[in-house]
Amino acid sequence: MSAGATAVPGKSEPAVPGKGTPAVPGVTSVFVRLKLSLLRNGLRQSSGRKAAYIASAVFALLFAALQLIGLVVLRGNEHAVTVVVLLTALVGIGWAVMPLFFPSGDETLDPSRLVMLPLRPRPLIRALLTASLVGIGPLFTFCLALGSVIAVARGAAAAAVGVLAVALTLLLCVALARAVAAANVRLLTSRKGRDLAVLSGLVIAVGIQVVNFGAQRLSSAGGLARLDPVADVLSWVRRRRRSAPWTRWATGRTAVARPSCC
Amino acid sequence: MRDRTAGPEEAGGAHTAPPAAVRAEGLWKRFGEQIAVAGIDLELPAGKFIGLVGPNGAGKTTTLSMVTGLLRPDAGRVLIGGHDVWRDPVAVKARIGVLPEGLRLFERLSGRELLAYSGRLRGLPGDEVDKRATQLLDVLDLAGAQHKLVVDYSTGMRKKTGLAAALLHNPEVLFLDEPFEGVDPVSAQTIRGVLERYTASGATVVFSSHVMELVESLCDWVAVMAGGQIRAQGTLAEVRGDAPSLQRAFLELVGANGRDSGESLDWLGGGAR
Repeated sequence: MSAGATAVPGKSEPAVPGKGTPAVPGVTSVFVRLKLSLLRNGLRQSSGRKAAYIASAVFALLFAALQLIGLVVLRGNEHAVTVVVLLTALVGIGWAVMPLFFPSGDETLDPSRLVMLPLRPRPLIRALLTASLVGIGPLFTFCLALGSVIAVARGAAAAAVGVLAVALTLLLCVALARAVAAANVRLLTSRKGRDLAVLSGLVIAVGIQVVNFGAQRLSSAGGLARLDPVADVLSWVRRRRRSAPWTRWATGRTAVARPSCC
Repeated sequence: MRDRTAGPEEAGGAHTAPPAAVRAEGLWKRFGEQIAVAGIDLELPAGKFIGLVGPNGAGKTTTLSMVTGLLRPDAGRVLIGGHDVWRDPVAVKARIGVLPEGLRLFERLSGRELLAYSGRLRGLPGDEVDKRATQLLDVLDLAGAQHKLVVDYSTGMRKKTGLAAALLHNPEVLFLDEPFEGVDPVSAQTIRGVLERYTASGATVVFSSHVMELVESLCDWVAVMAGGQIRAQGTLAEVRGDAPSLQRAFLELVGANGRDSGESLDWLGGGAR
């Protein structure tokens, strides 16, 4: 992969004046600006779509703010840990399934739009991950993660761990969404894949009903206590994951890298 | 029109065969049961306007996708300007421009923004990108719509935007998959003019089409595909042979000439019975 790069400078290069390698030093900043342009251009659509865009953005931000306040209020509550673990797990799952149902939600998620560009995998991963952190979804997740830390962290050491956890949670979420989107581009463009997506859409719809039902049960008095066993299981899963965070992380990154380089 | 290749050959100073811009060796691609491309060898000369022609389902798009690094072949290899497409995709992608069939653009960018970001992601300096984008938008008649979002563009405008993005880095070889499909005659003429100017400078254009008149009037080198194989390749005159037109030569090559629709549709026409 690097051999070709060193072969370039000798020849006359029509595309890249000056030095031919490494192709793009500022690729990360270009991607971030691209993402900002895409967000801003959401406001330049036809009035109907513009209204929907603004409404969903306002709703998401409002929801994020309320959640943040709610989690701050929950500080000191005996069920705070339960709620925090469940919420984070739910958001993680949300990030994983979102790209399957809203592939057009984030256009930079689609590697087929970038496949013609001469981008090397490593800078591309860095650029895409950084650009992924720009947007309403990451902001929402950040509010939630921040609220979770405020709700459960006591003392300086816990706060420090919490800050690290917020960063890792955010990166994990955006990397997960990218990996799922990239891995499924081929699937979602085939007929069999679309059928599968419809089927899993049904499963998700049922799942939303279950969540809805659960929320109703939980809002009754003492309902939160019912969640403790579930949270025990999930927090164990998370602990196991934490035990080897870097190996996990590395595999996650290669998963993001592979589709974009071919 | 035919003497367009005089320039690069003089520059090369050789009257022997010009070096190949694209060389494909033993390309195979199978989709499930169906063999889309059955072991083709292609040698496309540099500095020519090259047409890849064939009926629907002949494997033209599959071949172009494999040659441009969009689809991995099951077997075989492709060299562009001496670089292996699948060993060193970055070096190849910096040297080629591609206008694929189902073109995917950033829908929520304006035409100008799309070009600006494409050029910058290719590592070109910003002011150079903006200068080239202004000229391309101007020549391709897109200047009036440059601030409209791509999602609101017509088919012809999308093709022209895709072409502009493919030309922005001044590639050595330009690949176009059915560039005139769904494009109105005015836009088609504009695209044609840009492509002719581009090949006149010594660059290579490879495009697929099933419109023979178009290929005959544009190309000086033709490869005929059918059933996943190359049936003929060479200069327009060589492929045409003794046939009166490329259309007739093509029908003979793909074996569709003797087909008689005489009796099987005898109820068709001649008033209701």
